[in-house]
Amino acid sequence: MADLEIREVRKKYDEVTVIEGLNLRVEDGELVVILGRPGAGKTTTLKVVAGIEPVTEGQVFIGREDVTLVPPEERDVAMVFETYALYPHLTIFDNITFSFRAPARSERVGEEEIKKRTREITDMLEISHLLDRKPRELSGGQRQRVSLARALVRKPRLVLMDEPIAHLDARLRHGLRPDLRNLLKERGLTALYATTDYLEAFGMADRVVILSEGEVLQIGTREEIFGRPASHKVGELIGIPAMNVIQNAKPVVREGQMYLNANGFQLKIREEQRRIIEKKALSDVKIGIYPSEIDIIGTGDKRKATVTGELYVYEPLGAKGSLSVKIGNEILKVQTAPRMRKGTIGEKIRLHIDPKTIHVFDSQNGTNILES
Amino acid sequence: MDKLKLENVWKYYRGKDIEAVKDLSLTCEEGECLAFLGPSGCGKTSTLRMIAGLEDISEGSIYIGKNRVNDLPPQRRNIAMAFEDYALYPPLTVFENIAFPLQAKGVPSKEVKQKVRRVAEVLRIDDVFQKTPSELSGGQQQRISLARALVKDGVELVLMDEPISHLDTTLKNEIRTEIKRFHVELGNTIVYVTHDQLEAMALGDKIAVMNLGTLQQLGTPDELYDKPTNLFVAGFIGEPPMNLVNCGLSRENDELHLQSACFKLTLSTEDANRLQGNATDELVVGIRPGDFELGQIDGPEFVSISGNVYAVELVGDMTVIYLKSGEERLLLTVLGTLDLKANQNLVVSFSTEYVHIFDRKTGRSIG
Repeated sequence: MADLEIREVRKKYDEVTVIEGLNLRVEDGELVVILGRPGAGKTTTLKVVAGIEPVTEGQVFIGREDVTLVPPEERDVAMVFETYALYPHLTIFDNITFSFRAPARSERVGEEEIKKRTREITDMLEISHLLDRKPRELSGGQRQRVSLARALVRKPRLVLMDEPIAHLDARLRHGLRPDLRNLLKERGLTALYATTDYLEAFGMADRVVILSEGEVLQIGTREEIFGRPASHKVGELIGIPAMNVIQNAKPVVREGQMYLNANGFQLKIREEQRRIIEKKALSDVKIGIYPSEIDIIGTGDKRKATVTGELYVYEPLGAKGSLSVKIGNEILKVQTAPRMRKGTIGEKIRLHIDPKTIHVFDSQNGTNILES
Repeated sequence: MDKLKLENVWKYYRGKDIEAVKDLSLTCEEGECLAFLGPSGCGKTSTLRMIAGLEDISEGSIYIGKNRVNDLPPQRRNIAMAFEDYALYPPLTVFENIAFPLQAKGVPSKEVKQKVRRVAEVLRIDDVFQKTPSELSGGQQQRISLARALVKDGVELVLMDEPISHLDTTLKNEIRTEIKRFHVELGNTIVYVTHDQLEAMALGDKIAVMNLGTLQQLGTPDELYDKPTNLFVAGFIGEPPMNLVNCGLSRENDELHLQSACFKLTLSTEDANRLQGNATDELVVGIRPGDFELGQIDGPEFVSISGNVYAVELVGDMTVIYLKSGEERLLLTVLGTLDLKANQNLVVSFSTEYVHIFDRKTGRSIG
């Protein structure tokens, strides 16, 4: 158990920069999840921390010790990668307990304790009945759970996990999420975890790191990131459907209020946003609104419409629906309650958008104007 | 009118060793989008390839429009295809690739330009018109193949095999919306293959859920969600997935009860009658995560469960609650963010109206 610090790390492959000036601290016992698309640099970050890939520049500290030049087997780090490298000739039990027998910085653990810990973790992962088998007799999902068990049965200084449950079916994935988190917490393990699934990231993490094209866009808790996305790219990575981002909105003042003039409609913004727009003399911004924060005004609802558009497409998504509303040249996605009437294409839709829910981003660099 | 009809279709590989598609019969009407949905190996792609004429039909008949097409080569089936292996013409530019089927039919060049531009704009590929396929990413190539299939007119069917699987989530969702819009606007008949249940739900007018070569259910998105015919469909549609709780049947006085480790549910006379005809009393009750309400609710149609919260996830506008009640673990979703502590006690209720009952052995729905 230890904390982790990544300081000014850059990683280049030939001429391609994969990670650009990465700074990150993971506290002792903390679970930090890196959220990003494929190719964002998540796996490379984990490999650099593990020591599988050397850094091009910068330093990695584990437990305040500079491990930048320490080989992977001496870092005392456990890894669960998307591809599970199990020893084909060993039984599942021997695979899971292997690290006790060839320890890097070994804890001295007796056979009884090894068995007890193995039992505990394999029960949780529902693989206790497979302990005598060989890897080839197991399904992909079962093998992935074996590799999880192998990583967590020991108490390494740091656990690294790269999409460890992405390939399991929905039932197992949802079943394992809380167990995995509880297990890490109970053992007080420090963990860095990578995923492309925003539900998994926010559901499990103490803090989330949003990574895009090798750069950290934001680090924070769920409230911090949802409440104030640092850039429109952050908004686009979270939520189903993702945040609506409207380009080229122009600030105008009308009757003492500031509005943002988008292509064919206007949205009122808050005073704190107005002050910054005026201070920075921004003439062109992006607007971000989460689909779950737009209300459809039903019949009998007395509220005034903020914008009116027409139904472009309705997509049922089971527990909820996604309604696309066309307003001028923009399409706004609105999250709807389940079992909503389908509506007809072209039908008039009136929307209510509260200024509290509007995020404004700088068109030049994409950052939230309230940041900085 | 049926645009596509499959009659007792089988697909074998290696002699008769592997049955990839088993006795599949269904129809797709003109103007409908029919989505084949299932995990890998379920037979959905084999089915599509038989419809396209890229695979032989081992047994049975396939009709496109009025014609039985079993013996027709793909080019004579009057279809457009957007397949995973793209099949773009390498020496042609993006524009030429998309325009080709239109030009081949002698559409005037002004109209060709207009149509190609429109589809390329909504699929976000109008900025790469002058490039050739080899210069593009997999996701861009997919969209060109998709654009070409969408502009080709006068065809009976448009076939799409995972056409947006290589795109990142944001773009995937945008393009999905546009495919649906195109479909509704043009009224073309689409057969769409995907393993992604959200994609199938969003796009399909009807969805054919397949597993292990067999059709599990054919229905609208609402039917699949509200009335899954078996445990496979119940578990495959919806995320987070439906809670499935093992139950037995017990009789007290004149009432039938479903008894599980965490609740006892009194059946309505109607359900009781239906269940009595069923040979087994080993049942599974399914409850969707969103169909729970917090707190005790009194009333004959409500059932309450008391449990221990063992994890809480706050995600966006939703709270996911993991509840342990006896030996059962339940997953609930509630709109809004709730201040719940791990290990605290919680009572939740559900209405028997939203309960699904299955036979544990056969997996079939019985109410």
